[in-house]
Amino acid sequence: MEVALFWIFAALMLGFGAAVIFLKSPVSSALSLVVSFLGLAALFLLLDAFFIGIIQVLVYAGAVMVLFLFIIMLLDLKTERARKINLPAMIGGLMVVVGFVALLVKLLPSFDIAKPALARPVNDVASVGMLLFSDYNLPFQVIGVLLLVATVGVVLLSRKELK
Amino acid sequence: MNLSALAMQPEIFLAWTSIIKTLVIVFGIVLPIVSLTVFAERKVCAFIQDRVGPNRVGLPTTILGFKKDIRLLGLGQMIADPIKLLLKENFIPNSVNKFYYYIAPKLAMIPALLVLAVLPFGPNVFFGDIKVPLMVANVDIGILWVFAISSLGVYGIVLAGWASNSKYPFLGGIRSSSQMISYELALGLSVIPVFLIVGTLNMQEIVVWQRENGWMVAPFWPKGFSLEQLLHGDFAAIGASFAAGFSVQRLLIWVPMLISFIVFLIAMFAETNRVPFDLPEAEQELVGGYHTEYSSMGFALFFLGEYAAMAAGSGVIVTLFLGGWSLPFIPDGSATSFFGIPFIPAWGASLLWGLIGMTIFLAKIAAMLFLFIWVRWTLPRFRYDQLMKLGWYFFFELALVNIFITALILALVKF
Amino acid sequence: MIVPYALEISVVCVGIFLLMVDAFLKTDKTTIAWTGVVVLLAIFGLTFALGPMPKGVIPEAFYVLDPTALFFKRFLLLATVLTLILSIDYSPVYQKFVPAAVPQAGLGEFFTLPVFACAGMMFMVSANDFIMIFVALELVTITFYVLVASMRKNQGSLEAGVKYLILGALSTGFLVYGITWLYGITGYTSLDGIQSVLPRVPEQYQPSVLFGLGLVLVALGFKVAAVPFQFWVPDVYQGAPTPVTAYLSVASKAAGFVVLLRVLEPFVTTPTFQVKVFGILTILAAVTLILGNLAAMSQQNLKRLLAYSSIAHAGYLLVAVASLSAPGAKVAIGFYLGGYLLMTFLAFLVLLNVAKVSGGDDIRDFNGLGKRSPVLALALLISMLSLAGLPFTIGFLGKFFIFEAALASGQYVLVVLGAITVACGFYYYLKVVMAMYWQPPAPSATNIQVSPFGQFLIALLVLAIIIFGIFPQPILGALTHL
Repeated sequence: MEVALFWIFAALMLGFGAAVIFLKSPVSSALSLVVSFLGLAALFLLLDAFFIGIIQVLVYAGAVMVLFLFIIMLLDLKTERARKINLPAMIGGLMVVVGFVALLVKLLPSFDIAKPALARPVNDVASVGMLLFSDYNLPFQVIGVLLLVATVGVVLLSRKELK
Repeated sequence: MNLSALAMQPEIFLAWTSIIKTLVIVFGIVLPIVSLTVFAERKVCAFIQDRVGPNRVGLPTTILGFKKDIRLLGLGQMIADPIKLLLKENFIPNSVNKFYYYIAPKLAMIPALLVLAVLPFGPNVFFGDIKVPLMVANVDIGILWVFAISSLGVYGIVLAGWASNSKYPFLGGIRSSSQMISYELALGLSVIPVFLIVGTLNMQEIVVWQRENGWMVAPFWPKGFSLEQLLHGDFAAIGASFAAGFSVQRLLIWVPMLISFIVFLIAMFAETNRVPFDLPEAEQELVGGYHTEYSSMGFALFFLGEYAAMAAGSGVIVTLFLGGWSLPFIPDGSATSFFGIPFIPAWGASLLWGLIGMTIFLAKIAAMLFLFIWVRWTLPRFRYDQLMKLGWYFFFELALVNIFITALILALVKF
Repeated sequence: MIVPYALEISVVCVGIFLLMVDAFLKTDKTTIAWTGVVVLLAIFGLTFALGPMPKGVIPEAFYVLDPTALFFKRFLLLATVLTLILSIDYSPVYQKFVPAAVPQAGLGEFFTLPVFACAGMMFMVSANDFIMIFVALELVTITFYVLVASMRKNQGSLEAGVKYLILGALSTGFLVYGITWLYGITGYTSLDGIQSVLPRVPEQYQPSVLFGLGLVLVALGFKVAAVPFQFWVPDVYQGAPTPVTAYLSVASKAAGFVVLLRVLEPFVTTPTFQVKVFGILTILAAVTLILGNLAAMSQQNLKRLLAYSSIAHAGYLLVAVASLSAPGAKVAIGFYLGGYLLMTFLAFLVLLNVAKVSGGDDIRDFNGLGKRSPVLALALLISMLSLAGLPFTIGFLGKFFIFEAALASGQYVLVVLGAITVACGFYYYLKVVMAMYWQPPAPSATNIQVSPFGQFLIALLVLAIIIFGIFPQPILGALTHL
């Protein structure tokens, strides 16, 4: 059951991930990304990582992508015109992709997939919280500074007239 | 292995009980609530405007040759409205983006129904050793699920506005997305104090906590107070139980809890696009807002989604702040007798108390829905910039500061 | 006991304090920058009170305060101070390109954000764990995204901001993906943990470790502007506000190199990975040297030229990284970066003052600078000669130490390549000198006035370049414990 669900959601995620790139309309691309995120969240849920899974939905699908869509619609981005294919760039890009995939294909069989997963935390919200505020407190605080800087930056970059 | 043994296997048991619970909740509770709410909306509106409201549609007995219809206070309107919507022509304008136009109403409705999955409709009911929670999914991330799923509801509205390829719907969709993003912050921040106090995100546990320690908005709470005491008129015991439930911390926490409650309530109005935050469908400015170009079933789904979201939102408010299915003197599903009536078995008593809890929960939801309707017919609509200012400059800060106040009280006042 | 990361905390507090001053006090905005300069210098002084701490003493698993970290914290504080001073000089230009409702709007943020970037980079040089590296790196790059794009009425700045953001996000993706591979195989995000596990990694997983490390190297290569991850450098350096360019090319690069050294440490000390990792680094160093220097030769814009020169210098630094097995390599890197700080800030200080008057930063705007402003011309001459690596300047010694380390570890090919590319370097640096002394000034060109403090700073940097070029002992003394 879990294995079947894994394949379904993984296929969903990858398929819509590819659709993000191949679809011509920006709105369709953005929505494909949303579905891809939902597939990813489902994979997290299958691993019993409820907290991360649901945060994935809440933050990425529910907030970030809504803003993306908002901007796409507000700017009224039209369907991309068919671009002229730049042959060297195309070949270069393909080489990178093929090389990357080849590496992955070569590396992945060395892993023992049947190995049992790590011990699963019972209440992952609490354990994530505990870790953040104890062991990982320093990086967590640095993220606080990061958010402050980002806030200042957004005001600096987006305000129509600075005061 | 025979069928009944198979059905009692833990995983299978979970599966079929979940399916039954889902079906009951969607068709037995939500759909009736929605049509009742629509009817109530018209009736309450009429009352507030000093009119009569729909009072004609009842049992159409004249078809059968009787002289008069039976009016039933106009309750037939509940059925007549959906039938009217279903039978209308499903007109699709030429210029719409067909695919998104088609899926948008579904996207608007589904999240509202999914939210209900984590709402505890009643206490845990015990059949012997087997515990059946009266909710679809008893998960530890309960409230996060609510936020995550309800944040997806905006896609339906935004897409409807965009796919209609028409000015007013588009404006409605855009307004909706910015409004929802803005108020989601206040919504999420305002409930953090609740979790600081309770220490869990599990909705059922939040209700159980409130059952024992008092509702979030009501700090004076009897401890060890039972139905028997009330029935026997044992007022000394009742007084003692109130004294036992008293603590300074609870009293101080009352202030941030009220702030939380008010901010959450208002943010919920904004999230469900209700007056005074109904800018996405402001009929005086935008014709019909995002659903201008929809008719028949598409429109009905938006309608259904909006009212289901309202009901679900009410359910969340009730669960978090108003004690969910609990009332101070009503036992929960762990009780083994029902008023001491001898021929009711333990599981029957448990089930009956569970159903009573469910009724209490639905009654509280009804009260919240009444508030929603009352506000709609009382307050004028905000202007767009006022709405944004209110969300970002006031509620956001208030909710943020509120967290610190709560944390301080919890850390400093220990008695 | 004093908290080990007291320095970073105080820098963050300075940043918040300056933001508050900007928000609530109606002072002249340049006071914000001057306050920042003074307080950061005070913190610079404090670093000498705080000695390095051994690993066991610090309770924090993510943070080390070894001599390397301490040296580079001082380096970064100085770079930030210089950037703030440059920013004050630059503020009239900046104001022209910011949509402002009131005079001096946006300057407060322009002066404050480098302070936060400084805190981020100070965390970076002390980071001992991939989580900390990632978080600190993001703090730094996000600050830089904002700073680079902040001149919103200037197309170049906006373009630079977008390019930096997109490529930066891509490199972040590589970093995180690489970290997951390393974590997946070793079970640690801390570098100490990885070091302890690496010798025991079974044969079948070794390619995967290298794959993960490769992805991390891509991301770090992006930060230090190594070829082939240098695409963003010319456009971003040219478009960004000049002080930000200087800051980006000095501080961000130095912090990137420190992280690179820390990340490589476990791998180059483990025999099974040593050869392959050095192989990768040698190739990186070689292509960076060649491409950086060759591409710089055809540049007509001084900022762009300095961008390519920054790539070329990354190449020389990578030579030292590829020679890490030699004992002097780390000292060479520290010394080189120290020299690079002096020369680059001097070059940008002159560039800024000239561009303010000439209105452009093409090389032809420097035509006849020798007549228009002999002092600035002399300063730029010294900076260019030092960047090129003429003897008796700090640039020469920097290259000398690096080649010494490379010879000691047997990287002969890189030394030969380095020698050839230094010759290329002379060509394009002297192109600027030619323009200053042999080309007639444009008829409209006027003389250039430099503020007294600017003159003082120029003199100070020139003297430092020459003095440390002849007597390197003070800097080397600070570096002996690396």
